Amino acid sequence: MNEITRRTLIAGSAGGAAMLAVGGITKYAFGETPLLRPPGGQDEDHFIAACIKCDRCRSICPLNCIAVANMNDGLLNARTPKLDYRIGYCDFCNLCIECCPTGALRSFDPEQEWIAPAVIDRDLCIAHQPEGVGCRRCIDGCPFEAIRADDFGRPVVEVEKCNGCGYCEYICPSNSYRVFTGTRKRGITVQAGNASRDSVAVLGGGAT
Amino acid sequence: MKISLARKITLALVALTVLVSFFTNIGSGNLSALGWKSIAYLCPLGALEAFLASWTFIPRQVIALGVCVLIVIVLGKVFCAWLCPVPPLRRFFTLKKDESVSDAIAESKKALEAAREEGVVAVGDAAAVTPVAAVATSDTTESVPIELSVPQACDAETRDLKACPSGCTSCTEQRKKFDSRHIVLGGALLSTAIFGFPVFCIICPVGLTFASLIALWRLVGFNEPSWALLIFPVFLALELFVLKKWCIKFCPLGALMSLMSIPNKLFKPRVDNAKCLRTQGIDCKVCVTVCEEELDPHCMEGMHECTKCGLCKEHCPSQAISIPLYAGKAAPVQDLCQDAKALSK
Repeated sequence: MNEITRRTLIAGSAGGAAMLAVGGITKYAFGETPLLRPPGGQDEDHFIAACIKCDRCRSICPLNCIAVANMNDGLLNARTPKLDYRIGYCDFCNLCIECCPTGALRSFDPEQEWIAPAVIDRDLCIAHQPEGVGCRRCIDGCPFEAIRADDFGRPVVEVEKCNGCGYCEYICPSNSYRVFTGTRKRGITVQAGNASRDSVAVLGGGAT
Repeated sequence: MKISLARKITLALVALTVLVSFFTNIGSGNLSALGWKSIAYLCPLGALEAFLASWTFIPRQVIALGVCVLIVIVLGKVFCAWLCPVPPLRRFFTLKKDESVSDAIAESKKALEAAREEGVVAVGDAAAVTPVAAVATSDTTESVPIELSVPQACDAETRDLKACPSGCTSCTEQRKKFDSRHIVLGGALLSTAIFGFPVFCIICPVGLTFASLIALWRLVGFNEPSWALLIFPVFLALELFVLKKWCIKFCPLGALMSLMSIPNKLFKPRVDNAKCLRTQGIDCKVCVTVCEEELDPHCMEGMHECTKCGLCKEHCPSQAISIPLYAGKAAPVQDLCQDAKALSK
């Protein structure tokens, strides 16, 4: 009753081998483009290991800043959550962390940790243009007072205070005022990368 | 209410919950994890994969997995027939409808007619048609064949039903406890452990169904075009229509649940031999034909694969099959069959 027929063995082995192939190909051929993860998902290796793509964090986010990565972000990332600060920002309400069923999102302290630093793009930032419009939206809006004005009234990110909540990107008007740039990127963006505060100097230190 | 209707309603409710989670902030999720706040059903395979890939098991995950094991032990592989969108999807997109079931029913009826004319089935078949007569004749139909069956037994070679009044057609081809699905499951878990992410989730047809929906929704609602809109449905179609027997040959989720359902004792289909046409020597295979898991409710072997879909009960031409809460230890036909086999040796 319990012997396995040759056909079963072949079908099963083919399926099992396919699983190994899918794993390898996905990992190495469609590898990761760094994505901005919801708070607590900054350890990318742990995050990608534990996320089962259940879509719950995306749904529960009250400010709608969590979007879904798609095939354009790589097969490995497809269907995982990523932050889209053009639609909303993070107020660290913890709901996504609480509803994550597999612990892919771990507890997050916005005072100590960051999602990623905000970086100003001088080409896109309105205040950085030669004609200088004197836009202060992000400077006045930052909930953590992490953006100050330099001598010319242009915004500068103080990376040690920034935790990547994305409010600056959310309210940045560059895209609506400067539509001719042909990009959806804004004048200040929170960029995914090595999200460790030790790498401040490398990543955000010079970002003005 | 018919079981198939109840199943449709259940599936519609799940689909509705998932759709609601697209458009609101209730965070119910999809079938990978469906729930409210921190209480959620968690896909057991997803939970295992997440554990193998990350080597962390949070309490919530352990509890969800434990609850899942309990549910499968109590209810069996109900997920497959009641929640999984794959079989309904396949049915919906299969243009040429499968006629094997109606054929089998027609065949049984023809055989019954023929048997009547020959006079082989005298009173017994009345049991099949009218329940009242069943009561009256059950004694004779139940006792007589048993005595007759012993010397002849079930002929495994020819599978001659008339030789075996217990009518256990497919005892010889019952599903094995381990099959190709379990090898796929092993491959998926191994691959997950090696490459450090839940590998099967990438191609899980359940996940791909919702992923396709999400891709469509992101395109319409957020103007986010993506290759996913093309690739996910193609993957899904491959699994559904090229690997036609996905569920019983490849699905590792089904494999995992079949391991958990081995101790399952409740809601197993039970055949009333007094009513069953096989008892009267008619080669009726409706219940086997209709079963998507390719089971024969006459045999207890392999019945832990039963998904409680109720199709055998609904289609049985003589209403001989019931799905009681607890069928008891009685497995009459199988026992008869084995007794007969033992005696004939």
